Amino acid sequence: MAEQTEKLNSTLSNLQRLAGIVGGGALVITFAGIALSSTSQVLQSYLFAFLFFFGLSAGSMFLLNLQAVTSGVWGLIIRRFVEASAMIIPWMGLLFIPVAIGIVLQLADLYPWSNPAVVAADYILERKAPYLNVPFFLARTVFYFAVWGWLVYRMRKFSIAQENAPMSETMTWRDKMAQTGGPSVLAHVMLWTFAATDWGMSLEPLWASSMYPVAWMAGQILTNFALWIIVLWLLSKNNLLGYDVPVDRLHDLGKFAFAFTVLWTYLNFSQYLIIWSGNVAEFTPWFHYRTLGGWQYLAIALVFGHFFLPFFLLLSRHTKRNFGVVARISMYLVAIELVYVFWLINPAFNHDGFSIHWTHLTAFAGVGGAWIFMFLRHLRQLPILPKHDHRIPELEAQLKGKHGHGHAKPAPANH
Amino acid sequence: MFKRKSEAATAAPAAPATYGIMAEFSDTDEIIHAAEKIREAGYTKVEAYTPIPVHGLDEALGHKPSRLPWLVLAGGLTGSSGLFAFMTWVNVVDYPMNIGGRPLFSWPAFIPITFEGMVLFSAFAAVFGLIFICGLPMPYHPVFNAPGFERASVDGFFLCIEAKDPQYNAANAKSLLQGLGAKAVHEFSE
Repeated sequence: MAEQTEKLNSTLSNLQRLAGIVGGGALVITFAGIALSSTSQVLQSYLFAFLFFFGLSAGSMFLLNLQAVTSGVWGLIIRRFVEASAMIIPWMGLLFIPVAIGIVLQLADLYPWSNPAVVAADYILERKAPYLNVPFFLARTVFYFAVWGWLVYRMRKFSIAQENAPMSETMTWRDKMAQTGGPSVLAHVMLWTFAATDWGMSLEPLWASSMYPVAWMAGQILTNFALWIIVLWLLSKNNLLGYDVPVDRLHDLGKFAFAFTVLWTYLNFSQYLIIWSGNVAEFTPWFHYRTLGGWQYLAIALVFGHFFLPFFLLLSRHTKRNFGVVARISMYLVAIELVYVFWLINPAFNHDGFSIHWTHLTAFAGVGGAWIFMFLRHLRQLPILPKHDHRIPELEAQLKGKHGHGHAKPAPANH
Repeated sequence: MFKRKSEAATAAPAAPATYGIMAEFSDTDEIIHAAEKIREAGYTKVEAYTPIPVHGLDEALGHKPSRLPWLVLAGGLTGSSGLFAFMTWVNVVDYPMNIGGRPLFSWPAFIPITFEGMVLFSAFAAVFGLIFICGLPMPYHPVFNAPGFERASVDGFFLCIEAKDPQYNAANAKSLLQGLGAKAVHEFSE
C-alpha cells in the first residue's frame, strides 16, 4: 500500500513537471505569436483556451458541491478529482490577466463594447454601456473569482479537516460540507450565468440568450463525468488507484454522462428552436454566423457527434459497465466538447467564415498544461481516496461484495 | 395456458403433477448464496420470488438478460421516425402551407413531436412488452400451491427448482436446499 502511494506520488509528480514545462513553453510560443501574427489573433485563441479549461473547473465546482449534498459512493470516488479541479478556479483568475490587459490597453479586437469608437457608432451599444463597460466588466470578473475562490477554499478546508480528524468525527465534517454545498451550487450557477454572459456572450453584444449559460454548463458537467472516468481508468490500468472501481459505480458515472448528453442536447436545441421559431432579427445572427462559411460543418458535427453518437454509444448498459469501452467513449466526449466550445467562441471573431490558427493549438497546450499542473498539485496534497469520508464503509462493503447491493465485481481495467 | 385449458376440457381426474420444490430463505445474502450454489449444482430451471428487488439475483441464477430493452429501443425508434415521417408527409405532401415564409420541410419544428413520439412509444413498448414477456394476464400459477408462499410479498425470499429441470430429483433437491440454510422446503403440485 505504502509502495503504491509512493509510486502514485512519483508518477503524478513527473506528470506535473512535464505539464508545467509543456504548458509554460506553449504559453511563451503563444505570446511570441504577437510578433508573428497579431495581438488580436493571439488573445482570441487564448480566450478560447481559457474558456474551455475554465469550463472543466466550473463543471467540477458544480459536482463538488452537488456530491457533498447528495452523498452516494459515485461522489466519493470522484471527490478528490473534482476538489483538485475546482481548486484551480482562483488560479484561473491569474490566467485571465492577459485578456484583461488586452481589453484595458485596447490591444486586440475581443469585446466590441470595450472599443469606444464602436460604441459611439452603435445606438444599442451606447445604451448597454452602463453595464458593458471596461471598469465594471473587470470589477465583475474580480468579484466572480473572489466568490468562487472563497467557496472552493471553504470546501477544501473542511475536506482537509476531515482527512486529519478521526473517523468518529466524519459526520461533523460531512454536515459542514453538505450545508456549504447546497448554497454553493446555487451561488455557482448564478456566478457562471453572469460570467458566461460577460466572457462569452458579450463577444457579440447585440445578441442575448438566457439559455446560453446553462446550455454551456450542461456540456461542462458532461465533460467532467467523462474526464473522471478517464482519470479513474488510467489510474486503475497502471495499478495506481489502490482499489478496484466497483462496476456499479462506474455504471453510475456512465449513466450521468448519458443523462447530461441528453440534457446538453435538450438545452442547445431548445435555444435553437426558440430563436428559429421567433425569427427575430436581433437573435438570429448568432446562429446565422455559426451555420455559414464553413462553421455549419461544425454545427452538423455537433448534432451528430455531441448527441446521436454518444447517445447510442452510452444507451447500452454493456458499454457503460466496461471500463475500457466507457473510458474511450469518454475521451471522445471530451474531444467533441472542445469542438463545441470552439464553435461557441470563435465564430464571434470570424463572421466571414471558418478560421483556425496555430495559436489555437499553442494556447490550448499552454492553458491546458497550466491547468494540469495545478490539478496535479492539488491532487497530490491529499490521498486520492478520502480516508475519513462517511461513505468509505459503504465503498468497502461494495468492494467485498457483501451488503444488499452485493456482487460488486471490479470493473476490468485492461480491455 | 392453452394446454391447461384443453386438459380441463378432457377433465381426466389424474393426480396433479409435481410442479417443483419451493424453499424459503430469510434474507438477500442467503438467497443469492443459495442461488449461486444451486446453479453450480447444475440446475437450470430455477426461479426466485422476493418481496423486494434483489440486485445480482438474476446473475446468480444465470438468467439471460431480458429482451425488454430491445423492445423499448424498437418502440422508441418506431415512435420517433414514424411521427417525423408523418409530420413531413402532412406538411410537405398532404397539406402544404406557407407558415411565416419557412420551407415546407421545416424539420426543427418537428423535433419536439419526434421526441414526444419516442417517449410515448418507448413507454408503450416497456409496459406492453413487460406484460407480454411475463405472460400476463395469468389467472392461475402453481407456485401459490406452495405452503407459506404468501410471504413472498411480505418478508420471505423464495427459490423454486422446477420439476421440468432435466436433473430434477425431489430428494436430492430437498437435501441441497436444506443444506443451504432454507427455513422451509416443500414439494408442491401444479
